[in-house]
Amino acid sequence: MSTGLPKPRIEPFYFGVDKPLFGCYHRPQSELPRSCAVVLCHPMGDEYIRFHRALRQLAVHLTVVGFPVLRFDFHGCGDSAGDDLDWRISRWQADLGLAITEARRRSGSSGVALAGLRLGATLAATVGAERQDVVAAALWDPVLDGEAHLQELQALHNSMLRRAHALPQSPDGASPPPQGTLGGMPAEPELLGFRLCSALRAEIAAIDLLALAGRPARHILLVETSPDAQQARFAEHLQGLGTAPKHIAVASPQLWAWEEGVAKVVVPHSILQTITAWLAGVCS
Amino acid sequence: MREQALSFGGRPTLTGVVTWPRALAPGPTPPVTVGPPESGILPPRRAVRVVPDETAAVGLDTVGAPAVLLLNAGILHHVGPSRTYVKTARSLASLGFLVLRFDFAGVGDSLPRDDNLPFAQAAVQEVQQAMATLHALAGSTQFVLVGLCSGARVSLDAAIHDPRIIAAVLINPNMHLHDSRDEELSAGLRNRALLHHFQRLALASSFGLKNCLKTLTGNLNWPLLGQALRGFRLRNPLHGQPAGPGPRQYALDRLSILSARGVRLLHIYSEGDEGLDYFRLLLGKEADAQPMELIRGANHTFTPIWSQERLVQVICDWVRCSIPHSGRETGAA
Repeated sequence: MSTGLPKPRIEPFYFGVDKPLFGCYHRPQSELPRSCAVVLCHPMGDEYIRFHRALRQLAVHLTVVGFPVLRFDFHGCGDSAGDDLDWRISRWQADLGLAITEARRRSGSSGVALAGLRLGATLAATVGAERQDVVAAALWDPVLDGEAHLQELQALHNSMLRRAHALPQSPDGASPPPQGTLGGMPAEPELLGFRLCSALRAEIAAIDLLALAGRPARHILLVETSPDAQQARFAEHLQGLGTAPKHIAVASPQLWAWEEGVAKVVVPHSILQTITAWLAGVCS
Repeated sequence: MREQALSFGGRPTLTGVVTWPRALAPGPTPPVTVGPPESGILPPRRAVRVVPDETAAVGLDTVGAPAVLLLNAGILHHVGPSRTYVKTARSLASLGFLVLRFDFAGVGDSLPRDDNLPFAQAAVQEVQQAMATLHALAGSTQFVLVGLCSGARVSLDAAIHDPRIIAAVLINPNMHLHDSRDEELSAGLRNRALLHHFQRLALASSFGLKNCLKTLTGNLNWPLLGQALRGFRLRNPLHGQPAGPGPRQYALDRLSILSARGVRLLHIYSEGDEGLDYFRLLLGKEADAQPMELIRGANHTFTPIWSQERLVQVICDWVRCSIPHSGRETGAA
């Protein structure tokens, strides 16, 4: 729809076949825009809610140094179609492929870089390993061991139930089926406000990035916020795949802990600045 | 039911998602950019629909159909805590309501303002921009506001200021009914309400056993408890006020402005939320006269899924029963 208005710095839109995926395209704000677009990969569940602002700020930082940026929501997440019962790793990997295509189409870029957090970083690594056009990948605390990740999320959920004024079941008995989209859904285990269906649980449990067969990108940044020997082993594994990853540790304990409140979002600026500076250095 | 990305408001550009009921939006829905709208009250007009891939509009028989706006919960973006705003919007759309969830300036996907307008005023202005945008898009002339926490406070303020708003659902609002410019009163009310909050949770709530365990295992929120105990040292803010109507009467006057205009108001409180104690403390016996739904066992942001479902059900049931709307859908889209 043409209105004659200047193009906004942030353009929200839906894309993909039948337009199920929500994205925000950030136009580069530098006079010398780069030829590489950046696609940001959100984490899932409660981490998506709490780190949405962080990735939005990362997008702003990246546009200032000339990158066109696409943030998008995976299927069943954020503003995209579907709900948490639709969550599947394979679907999200296909979503990321669509997002890369969309980012290149909108920006006219020849190359693409990926930046992801937690499960979003894992998706970036696995999708990048299957493609040839990913110039750089910034992997912020990627999930390396799916089973360990599930155990960590379960521990956080249990901690929430201990600390919050919230009961795991209604004290008034089972809730009647609600109106609309929530009605009639089967009971599934839940983690911090989101359902975890058995199919997704199995897919996450099978994640093992130390078995990754291809390099995710030509240039790789690995950001680690809590001491984890697995991350060092992953960096070694990436070296074995023919890359020279930059591995940095930014001590930030408690990043993933659940917090009550509507102001408990997390924006770790030092990490955002590190990723921005690194991408600016390795991408044209 | 279809969802459409929306940019509106000029400076700043605000971002949101419109959830169209099936009856109003068949076919694909491209993103729409709407220029700076007038913030004044718009006259009734024939409804319009943005047609995919064209800018033409066609008339629909939906003149006067109320639209619903979901307002940011704090600085969480427009999907809401645990995505509850998405679920609420889709459920309301399945009932035939047009729903917009958007971000205030500087929150979520919206750009920050470039003036110094305080948030309380800016937010009401941006609600008016959103209403004008829905009027331009779909001919909506009446609106229902739904907000959690600070979104509830903005909903109340906007409803008082703008006669296009015919109903509001206030979810876990706190410190929203007294004159917040009186800082001493605000501090007194908050500490007193916290004291009532801890007493209620320990002695008369579904959390009784859990709170005993929290005490034994050291999981209490000691800073908050300390603040509550300091409430003992402050005078009761509801007694001994200087000349004037007093905070309770001030609150009742605010509510009566809305009831005189026929605006329907629903408070929804989680059992674990301290706003409930503020509400009861400030209004006293008058609290029982206000439409209020209590969701037992729920926390401030409705983390357990059963509590999210209960919240969506309460909102949808109340909107469906309270808001006249001839164009409802007969089934989920």
